[in-house]
Amino acid sequence: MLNMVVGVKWVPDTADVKFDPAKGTLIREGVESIINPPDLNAIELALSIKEKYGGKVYVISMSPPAALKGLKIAIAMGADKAILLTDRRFAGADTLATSYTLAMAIRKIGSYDIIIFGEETIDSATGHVGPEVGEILGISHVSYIKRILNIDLTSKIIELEREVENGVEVYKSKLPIVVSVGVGVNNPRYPIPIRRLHAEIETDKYIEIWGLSNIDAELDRIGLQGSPTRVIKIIAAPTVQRRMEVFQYSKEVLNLMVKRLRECEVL
Amino acid sequence: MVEFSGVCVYIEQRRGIIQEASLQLLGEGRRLADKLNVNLMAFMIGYDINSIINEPIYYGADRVVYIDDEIYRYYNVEVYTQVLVELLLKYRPEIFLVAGTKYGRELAPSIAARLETGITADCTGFDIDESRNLVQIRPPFGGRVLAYIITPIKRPQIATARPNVFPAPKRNIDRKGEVICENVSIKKPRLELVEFKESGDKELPIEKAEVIIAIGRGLSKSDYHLAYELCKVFSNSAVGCSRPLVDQGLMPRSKQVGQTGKTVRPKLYIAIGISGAVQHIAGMKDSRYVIAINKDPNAEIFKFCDFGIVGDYKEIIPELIKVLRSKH
Repeated sequence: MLNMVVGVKWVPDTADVKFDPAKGTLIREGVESIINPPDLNAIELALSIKEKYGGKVYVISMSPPAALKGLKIAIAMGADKAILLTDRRFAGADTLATSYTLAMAIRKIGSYDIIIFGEETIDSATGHVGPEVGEILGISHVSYIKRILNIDLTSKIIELEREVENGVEVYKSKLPIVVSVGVGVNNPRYPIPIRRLHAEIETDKYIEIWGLSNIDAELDRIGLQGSPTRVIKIIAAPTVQRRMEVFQYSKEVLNLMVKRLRECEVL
Repeated sequence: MVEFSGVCVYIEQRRGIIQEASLQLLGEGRRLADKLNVNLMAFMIGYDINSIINEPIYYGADRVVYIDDEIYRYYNVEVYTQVLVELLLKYRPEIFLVAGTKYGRELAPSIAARLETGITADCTGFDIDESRNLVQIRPPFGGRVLAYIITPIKRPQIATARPNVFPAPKRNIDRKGEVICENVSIKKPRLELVEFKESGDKELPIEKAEVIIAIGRGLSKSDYHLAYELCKVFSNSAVGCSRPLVDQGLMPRSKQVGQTGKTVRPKLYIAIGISGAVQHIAGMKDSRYVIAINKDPNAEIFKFCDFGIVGDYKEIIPELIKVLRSKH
């Protein structure tokens, strides 16, 4: 029996987020939110470990209440229980304060063997949370996991494989461990309609809502005041002016292209 | 309490070879150190690295602090985190920069969490503000915006930097500096590296190529050879790809261009069958000249190209190879 905890983020679908250059802010209104894509792979990994070794899958998200929708999807996929960490005092957290809050909540769950995160989010793309949660809990952590090779339930030793730029590494560690996975390590299963229905009508049975009072967290380590970093401004990214000469294909077009490559001293 | 002072760059080496991205950061580190009027230090960990310990000085560092022991032959996040935390507590730089390689992006947040300090990921620019804070500039939301971030109180200010954004400084073997060999005692790690299988990939890495032929979902697997044939027309060229091909296991991750892959800035970038998702654009937008080939005239990629051809790549690539061969 293994206890898996999967961290998920409810994120605006980045492709639709627009920037208001006059105000210097991102326009999130009307943008649909989704479960951060690699977090679906994290859920899938947890469910597949449960199927092979037995255990329980908890899903946790620190988010405004709107993330309830995402947690219902996680339940419908097969997670046993979900926890929505929501409190105004958690707001404004950077990656360190977020990781601290998540770590304290995971500690409150009690027994955990494998904590799984998507390797990064599509909105902030830092990849910090896995390593930071591991360090705060004082346990092993490995990012960019490709697959779990073996888990020995008696000795509680896990063997796993990950890919780096120049090769593949195999690691071994005593549980508990934090791992992170990217899109493509597996194929996340679809939500099961009947479970979705259960999550909808018996939400309280599957999803708990926790605030600051439910976890043992120090006030000066959460939210904005617990965040060592500050965003001071956001600007539209400068773009390189492209020539954008677009043609329907013909052989003459290729000659023009070679001419342009010469003019621009590319050839 | 001793004040925090100086800029420090972590020099990542693998098997005695310093990562290009770390050398690039020495240039940026030098610029920041000069602006603050402080020293530039470099930390290096490894085994049998004597022959390369002066390299950071040749690239701009004033001082190198290194640790050389067999237990550091291979990277292990737990071991390296312990060592770097010890060195940071002893030498107390105000700024600590780490190249945003896979190792760096795992190591830097581990260190930050232990020191309970701020960290910013994947920076593409740095500056110093009037309060001597490090301004860390990074591109979230698929690179459509730039966020300016500071760590006003906590020290050191830690940041990872995206590889291939900063140019590497010129190597100058006449530069002199101080080299210090350190020793730290570490706890036995829970995490153990059992095996390292080096990939046999001997092709030119895409980040070093002057010409990149990038392929996307629009290309059938049976036609990948066309991209490789086009690639052969150029020297210093490599084939790259967009993320879906890697996710489907059709191409290795080392070939992926984009936000979650590599950032490239070749002289010529030829995108074939790539739709142009923001995450892909983020990794190639600084290329000097961009050619796009796509059958969909409304593909986003055409907004980010210098020269676009709407049509069937099966027809276009063989013809393009012919034209280039005859005029090259």
